Amino acid sequence: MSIRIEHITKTFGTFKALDEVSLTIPTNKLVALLGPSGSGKTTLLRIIAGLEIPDKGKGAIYFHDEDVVNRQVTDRQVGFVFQHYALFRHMTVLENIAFGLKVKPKIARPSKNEIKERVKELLKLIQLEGLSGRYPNQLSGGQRQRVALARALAVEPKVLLLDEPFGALDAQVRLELRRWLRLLHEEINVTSVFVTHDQEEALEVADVVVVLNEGRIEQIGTPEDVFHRPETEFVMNFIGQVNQFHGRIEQGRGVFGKLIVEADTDGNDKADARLFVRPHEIRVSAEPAGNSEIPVTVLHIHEAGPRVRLELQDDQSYILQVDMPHEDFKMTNIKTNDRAYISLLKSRIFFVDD
Amino acid sequence: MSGTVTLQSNKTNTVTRTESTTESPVIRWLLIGTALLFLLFFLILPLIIVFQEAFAGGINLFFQALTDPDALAAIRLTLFTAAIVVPVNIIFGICAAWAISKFRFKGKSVLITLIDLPFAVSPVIAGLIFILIFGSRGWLGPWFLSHGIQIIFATPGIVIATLFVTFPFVARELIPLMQAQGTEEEQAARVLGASGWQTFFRVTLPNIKWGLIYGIILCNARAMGEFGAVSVVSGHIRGYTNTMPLHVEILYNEYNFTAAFAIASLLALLALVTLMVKSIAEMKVSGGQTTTEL
Repeated sequence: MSIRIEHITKTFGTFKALDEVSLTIPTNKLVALLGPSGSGKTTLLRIIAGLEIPDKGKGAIYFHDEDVVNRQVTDRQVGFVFQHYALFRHMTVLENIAFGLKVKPKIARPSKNEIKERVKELLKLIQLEGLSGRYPNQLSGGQRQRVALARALAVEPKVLLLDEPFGALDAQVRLELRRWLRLLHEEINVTSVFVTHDQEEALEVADVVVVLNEGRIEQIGTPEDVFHRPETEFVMNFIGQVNQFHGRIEQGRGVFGKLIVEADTDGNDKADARLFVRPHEIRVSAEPAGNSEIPVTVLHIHEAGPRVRLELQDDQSYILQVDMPHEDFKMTNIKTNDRAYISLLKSRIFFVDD
Repeated sequence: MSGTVTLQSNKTNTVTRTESTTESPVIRWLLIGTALLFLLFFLILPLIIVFQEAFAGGINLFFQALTDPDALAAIRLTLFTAAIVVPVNIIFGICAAWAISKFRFKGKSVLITLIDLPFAVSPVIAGLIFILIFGSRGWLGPWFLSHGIQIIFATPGIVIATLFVTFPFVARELIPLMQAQGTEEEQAARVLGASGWQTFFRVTLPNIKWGLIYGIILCNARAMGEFGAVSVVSGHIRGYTNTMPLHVEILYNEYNFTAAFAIASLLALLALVTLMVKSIAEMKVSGGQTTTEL
């Protein structure tokens, strides 16, 4: 089932959490709502679920062409996984998973045996068959997370919504569950939306990434899109590390201190502009090899990691982050406090709007 | 920066904690001994004396005192009052605790303060307030009297005064518990399709069960044991408006010590049961909380 959100606004007191947000979530895709805290991502998720009511107005939410904006949370048939799982603490794993089936009205309620079968299936899916009699406080964080997922899936929801699904887990479990969620999504094929503030998580798990900032959508696209083709300065800054230079456009070229970059100026002559360069898009060498290179001083070299990270300072005291493979770094022969020369492999210019 | 700051404060915390636990054995035993001695003299000894006095005239006299018609009337009135007051307080307590812990609204802190009011007001004053309102010369008294309803110096007055004195008990027990538990489990139940009642009976109620039981026990103990407020509104009509505590006082003033202590022993027994349920409830509540934090 697809979800279409149109012109949704939500204010809390005087704070505008969402500002005219419109978004289409295609059927059976796994979508990430990515943004910093306060960007409105969780509010949007809760509005889709019906746990939060959007401001009155022209806003609408369509579940497969049917407007559900006035429908109660109990009737929306969504599965929701809470950030802190919200498992029923006085119920066993089995009772937790069966809850959604047991509270169905008599006509729609499956028989006891059917419920048992369904729960068994789900326990197998989350690989916790042996723990059905445990209480939530006897489970690890990762196990609770999986029980919460199974509980949400038991009622066969049309949409699966997850609020910071990995937020409360430690790094190791996190990586494992990420991969597992990806596989699970392929297996159950339900339109799924998850909220995260972790860009790495969003890029790795989702089919589509929606970047939110201050209650507005900055960009919607595949992980490759938002990483390689950021449409706004915010996305450029938020996704991945980036070096920033301030400068202006002069005679069809971007001038950023000593850096001169060819630019598609769009007739924006004399405009203030910012230049963004990713750390891996800078080449460093010990000797100057052309005239477009900029001299810098090497401040720090961090070699402990999959790639070597350098901290460089140019003559205007800009600090630059650069990273490169260990092999390339060895070839350069650079040491701390050396002079070095950089050239940009790739960069992006954003004009500063007044 | 902030990370290091919190780390340091943690360190000082543990340091002071270890220091405080390394008191010399002498001081430790002195502290424990003082507490135990206090308990012995002010709680255990009086309790023993109550029972000793009750049975001083033999078991027959004890039962005679309990089956005296006036005593039976007092017991009946006390049970009747509790039977009304406790359910009303359960409903009020759950509603108030629910409103305070699960919703945001203006005047919330005022409501919390108001709930505590009966704790702050002397029960005698509470009784006098109701005489001013419902007495034959009070605001509403004449109207009720003209409709044939007597409130003061009758059972309704006793019930109302007891209600006033006991209404913080259930709410006070539930508010912190429900605040700590938050609303996420209820939301989860709703998303899973549970109706409001299903959510309440299957999720909320089991979660607050032990706190609620403890609140009910405390409320019941106070409802049966209340003296001051009830004394003012009761009028002490033997066989009609005397509750158990009032009956104890009358017997005592008549130097009928055995009978007085026989009735008193019933109230003391209630206190013992209360303590027992309280310790069970506390074990369950704190046990549940510590393990959820794991």
